[in-house]
Amino acid sequence: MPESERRVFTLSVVSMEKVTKNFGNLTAVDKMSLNIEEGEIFGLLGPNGAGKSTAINMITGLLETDKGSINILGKDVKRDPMTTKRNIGIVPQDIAIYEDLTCVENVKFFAGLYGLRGKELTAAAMEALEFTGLSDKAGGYPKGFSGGMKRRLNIACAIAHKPKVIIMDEPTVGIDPQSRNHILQSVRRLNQMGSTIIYTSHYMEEVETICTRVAIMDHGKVIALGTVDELKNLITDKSVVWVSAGDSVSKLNEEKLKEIPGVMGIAIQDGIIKISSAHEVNNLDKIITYFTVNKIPLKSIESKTPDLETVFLSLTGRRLRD
Amino acid sequence: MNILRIILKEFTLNIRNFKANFMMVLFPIVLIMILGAAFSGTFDNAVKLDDVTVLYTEERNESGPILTEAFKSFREGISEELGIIFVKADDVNSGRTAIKDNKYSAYIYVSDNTREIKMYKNERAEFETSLIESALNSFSNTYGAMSAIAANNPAAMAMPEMAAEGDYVAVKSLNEKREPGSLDYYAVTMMTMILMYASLTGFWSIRSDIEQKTGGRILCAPVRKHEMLIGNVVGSICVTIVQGTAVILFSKFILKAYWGEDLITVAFLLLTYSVMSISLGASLAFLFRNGNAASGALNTIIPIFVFLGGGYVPLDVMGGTVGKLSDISPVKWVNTALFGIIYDGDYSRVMTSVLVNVGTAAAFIAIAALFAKRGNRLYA
Repeated sequence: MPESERRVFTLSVVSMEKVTKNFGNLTAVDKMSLNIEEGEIFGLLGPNGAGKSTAINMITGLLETDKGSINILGKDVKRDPMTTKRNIGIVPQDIAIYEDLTCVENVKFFAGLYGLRGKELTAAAMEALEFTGLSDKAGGYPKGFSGGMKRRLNIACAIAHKPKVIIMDEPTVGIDPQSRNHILQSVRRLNQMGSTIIYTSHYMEEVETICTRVAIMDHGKVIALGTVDELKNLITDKSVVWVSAGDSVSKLNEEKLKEIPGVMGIAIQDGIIKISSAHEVNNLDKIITYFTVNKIPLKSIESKTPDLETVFLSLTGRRLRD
Repeated sequence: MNILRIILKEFTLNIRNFKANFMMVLFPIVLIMILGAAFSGTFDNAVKLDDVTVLYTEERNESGPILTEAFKSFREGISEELGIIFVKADDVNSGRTAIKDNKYSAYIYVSDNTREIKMYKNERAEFETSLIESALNSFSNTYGAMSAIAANNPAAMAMPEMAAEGDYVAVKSLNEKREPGSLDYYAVTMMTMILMYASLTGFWSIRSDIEQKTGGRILCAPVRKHEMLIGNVVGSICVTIVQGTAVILFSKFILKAYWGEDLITVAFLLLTYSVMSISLGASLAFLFRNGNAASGALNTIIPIFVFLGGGYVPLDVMGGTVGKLSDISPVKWVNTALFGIIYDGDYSRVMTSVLVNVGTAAAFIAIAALFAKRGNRLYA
């Protein structure tokens, strides 16, 4: 469904209108406009320095906008920050917990700042710990916890007060696959329980899996916005080939490869060379020749359906993790 | 309510911090014991003149023995006060000979007839004779004044203060009954030293929230920046009060250090001093971008302040330029005021010290508040 039609039927939980933020000469966010609707899991995708965290910090009221306006559930963040903050739960990128407070003390402290008291606070804290699978660690100190457990506590501290909007800024950085799956399941459950989620990540697989809509950011601007399928359709004019070259990938000269007619972008990940080309150009034989001539042994070669990584690559000419 | 939560959080975090408690409680106690024992000889201020013997001869006029009677009172008084022994000599010649032979510290000749007092000093007993001379001068002046009044206005002699025995000895201790021993001295100075280090508590209460990103998380909640600042500073003050109280109680009841009779004023003065110290740390947490640099600066400044405040050795030992330079140290002001209260019942310096503490704290808090307001990016 096109963006303009979608807005007519749903309530905007977060609305950004031509928001700009400068740090000295650097424009971190540049005239960013966005509407996030009730019940969405909205993905904010972009490389480091794209402006994701700055945008989130402005939504939470931690940073002030230089230009433009942000509304949370109809309230202006600048004019009525205490009300807008009350409706938000933030899971920061860094694990922001106190190591000398127990799990339950951490959750109670942060939830208490949103006005919860007494038995209601204790019940909410225990519920949040239960939700994140930490109820048996309620009295334990996070000092000895694994990275994944700390990340889960980081989430528990954000959800105990049952916010309408939950912002998760790279919540799965540096954790094991099991904890990552637990967190992704938690995101879905929170969404099913009625919270609107804003989810930022480097990991396009995560965003592709859980997000209902995605905005791709680069250099402070939203360069593409839509569902995952809508975004993939943006690059139907491109074909993607994955070449596996194992350890020999180091011999690859990206610039030379880009000289092959039709090649639009190259990304290397875990020994896989991802090459996007203009759909109408048949250059597969030239790509194979390049590898043969340069004595880079090919382990496998396959044509892929474009993913968000490819979308980003096509739109910016860079990889997400550059 | 949010301020109370932040205060409680800050208090809990600090009270559970073993390293901080070791630094703020055990460290000063150990220092008090070590320095107290090491410098116990240096602080033995008692003037013992038990072995000073003074020879004297009185030439009495039985019809009017005014001077010799007065001298008798003087002798008894000074014997009681300083423990000097007075021995009667037969005549002037035997007295002078005994002095020449270094048998006595001094010889005093008193005559009712000529109304004169002569003192012969043993040059080898310089300190003792100068003390006796000083006391004798005091006696002589008092006697002269009383004689003049008696001659011109005998009724005035009935005035009790004039008739009372004069204080012949000008040597006066901080407390006539008690002087600070080394343990007493270091109980006070190590206390003020460690409270100066409480600036690190204030510093880290702000800085750890910046570095661990918990401050940003707090500010994402409906909490204003000044609420967070007040919460952190007051929480640090509360934990410092507990730590300071532990040091005072241990030094008072276990080490038997003397804290004077007016603990309330002492506590009030220490409280204002703690507020100043923590505010200093809080402001530096915002002024410095690098936490380690700020922490290093504090760790450099504090020992200098403590040194200038007489924390390690008494200031009067240094004198001159160092003495003048010490005015820049808030530790000096608080130490001087504390010793005044504890040992002399002197409250004249309390107000100065409180004003220095409160004024400096207000300036530091204003700086911290200003930078906290402007420093949005610190927490982002």
